[in-house]
Amino acid sequence: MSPTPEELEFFAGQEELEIMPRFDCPTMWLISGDLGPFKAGIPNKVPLWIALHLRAQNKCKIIPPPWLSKAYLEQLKELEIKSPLFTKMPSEHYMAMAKMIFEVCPQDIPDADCVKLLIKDIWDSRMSKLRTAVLTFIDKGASWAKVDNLTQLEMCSIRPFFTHSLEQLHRFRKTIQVARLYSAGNSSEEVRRRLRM
Amino acid sequence: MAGQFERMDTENGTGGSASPDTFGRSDEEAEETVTMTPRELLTKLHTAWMNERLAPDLLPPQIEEIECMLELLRNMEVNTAKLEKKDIRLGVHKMEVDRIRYLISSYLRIRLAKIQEYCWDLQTKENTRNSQAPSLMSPEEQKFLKEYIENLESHLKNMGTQHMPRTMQALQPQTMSTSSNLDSFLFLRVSQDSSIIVDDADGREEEVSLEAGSQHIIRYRPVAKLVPSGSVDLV
Amino acid sequence: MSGMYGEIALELIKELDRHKGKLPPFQENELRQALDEMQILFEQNQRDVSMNIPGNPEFLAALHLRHAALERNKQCILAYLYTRLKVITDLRWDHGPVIPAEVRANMTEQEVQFFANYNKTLANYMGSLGENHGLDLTQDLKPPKTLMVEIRVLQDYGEFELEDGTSVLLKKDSVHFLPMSQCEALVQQKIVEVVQKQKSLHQK
Repeated sequence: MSPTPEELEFFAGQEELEIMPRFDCPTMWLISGDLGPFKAGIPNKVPLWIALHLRAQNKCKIIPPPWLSKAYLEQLKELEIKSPLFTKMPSEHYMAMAKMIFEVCPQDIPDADCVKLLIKDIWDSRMSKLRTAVLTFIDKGASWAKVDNLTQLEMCSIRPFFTHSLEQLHRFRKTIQVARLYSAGNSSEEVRRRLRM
Repeated sequence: MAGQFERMDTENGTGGSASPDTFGRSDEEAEETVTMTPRELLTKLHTAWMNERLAPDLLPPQIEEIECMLELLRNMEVNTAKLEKKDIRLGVHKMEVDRIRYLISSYLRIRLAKIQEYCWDLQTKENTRNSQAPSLMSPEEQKFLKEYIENLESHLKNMGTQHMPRTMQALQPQTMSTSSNLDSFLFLRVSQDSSIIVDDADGREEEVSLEAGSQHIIRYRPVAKLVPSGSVDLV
Repeated sequence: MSGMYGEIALELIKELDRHKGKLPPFQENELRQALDEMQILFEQNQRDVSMNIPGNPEFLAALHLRHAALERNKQCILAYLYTRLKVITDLRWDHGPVIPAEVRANMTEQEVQFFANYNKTLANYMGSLGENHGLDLTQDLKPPKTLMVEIRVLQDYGEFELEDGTSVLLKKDSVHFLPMSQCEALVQQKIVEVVQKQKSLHQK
C-alpha cells in the first residue's frame, strides 16, 4: 500500500538543515547520531524534526536551505516548465520540507508568500507532466518506464489512479493472451505453464 | 548533572556515542558478528519499513534488528530519566524515542496486517518450505498465525460448515484466501546495476537493464527477488 | 423460500456491504434460511441420484444447477461470517480490548468469544516483543509531529507561562501561534479556540 503524506513527512524529517540556536548545550548523544555541542549564535546542522521541535519552543531560528529562496526557485521553475522531462529537485523531500517549515515558522523564510507560490507552481507543473506521461504510458501499452527525478510524494499522489489502471489493462491483455493460447489448441496445463512468469 | 549523563551513556556503550558499537549475535550459534552503529541500524530499519510498506507480499523479517533497537530505546529511556525537567535535551531525546518506537510499531503492524490478510496462503508456504530455507515470519509471528487461523477456522466451522450438508463441510480455505497480487505495479529505485526479464501482457519478453540511480514503474513480479538483497528499493 | 436459489445468502453479503466496515446486527434468521435451503437442495439431489436415471439430460442439468447453488450458498455464508470477523478484528485496533456496548449488542456469543481469543493472541504476540518487555502495537498509530496551532483568545486570561519560562499575554480576541502540546489544556477549558488551518501547499 502507498505511504500516506504523513508517513512521508516523517521520513522528510530526517533531512538536515541549519539552525541558529538561542541556547548553549553540550553534545547530545542521540541514537541517530551525535549532535552539537550548541552555542548561542553559532549555526549548527540538525535533522529537520529536531529543528522544528526546537523552533516551536523558540529555542532557535531556522536558516532556510539555499534552495528555499525566491531566486533559486524562480530559476528552478523556469527549468521545470521548459523541460519535457522531470528536473532533479534540490531535495527528494522538497515539498514535505517546505510544508513542514511553513507550518511552524514561516517568519524565518524571506519572501515567504512568494516562495510558497513558487513551490506550488513547480509542483503543479510536475504533476501536470506526470498526468500526461501516465496517459501516454497507458496508451502505448508499455509494461515498464523510466521515471528518473520523480519524488516519492509525487509518486504517491498519482499511484492509486496509475497502478490501478495499469493493473486493469494488464488483466485485459492477459485474458486475450489466454484466449489466444486456448484457441491455438494448447491444453490448460500448457497455458498455465506459459503464463506462469 | 550533564556530565554525569554523558559518562553513563558511554559506560553503557549504547546510544549514539562517538565510537561504533558492536551488536554481536549470541555465540551459541556460530554466526558472524554484525558490527553496526546505532545510526546504521536505524537506517536499516527505515529501509525495512519502506520496503514492507510497499511490497504486496510479506518480506523476510528484520526481527534481530528490531529487538536490538528496542533494547537501545530502553537504555535511552533509562538514561534520559536522569535529566532535569527543563533540560533542553530531554525533549529532543523523548521525541527521538517516540519516532523510533512509532517506526518499529508501524513496521510490525504492517506485517501483522499482511499475515492476517494472507493467512492461509502463508500457512501453506510455511508448511511446505524446506527446513533449511528461512521462514518469512519470526517464531512469534508464526505462533500468532497459527492461533489466528485456529480461531478463524473454529468459528467458521461452528457457525457455518457444521450446519451444512454432510459432504460440504470441508472448509477449503484456499478458496477463501487471497494471495498477494504480485502483478501490481510499483515504483522502483535501483541501487545496484541489475538486469531482469520483463514480459509484457502480450507475452513478449524483453531484457531490461536497471542502472544504479534510475527509477522505474514496473510490475512487482519480475523484480520481487531483487528486493530482499537490496539491489532495488521500492519507492 | 424465495424464487431464486442463493438469493437469501446473497442478501447476507449485501447487508454487510451497505454497512461498509461497521457491524450490523447478526442476521440469524437469514442465515438459518440459507442453511435450510442448502439442506433442501442437497436432499433433492440425493433423491434424484438414488432414482438412478442415467444420462437423462434433464436430471443432469438439475443436478448441476442445484450443485452450483449449493456451492454459491456455501461461499456466501462463509464470506458473510468471515467478513464480520474481519470487522470484529478491526474493532480491537480501533476501540481497544473492550467492545463498546452498542457494538456488542450486534454480536453473537460466538463472535464475542472470537474477539476474546483474538485479543489474547494479539496480547501474547505484543508481550513477546522487546525480549518480553512487550510493545503495545495499538499505540503510536500516527507519526509523532511538532504541531503548531493558531489560537484566538476567547476570554481575558492574563499572563500564560510557556514551558521554556517565557510568557505570553492572553488578552481577549488576541491571536497567537503556539506549540499545540502547550495549548491543549487551554483549548479544553475553552479559554482559547483553534483558528481554522490554511490549506497545505500541494492541495488544490
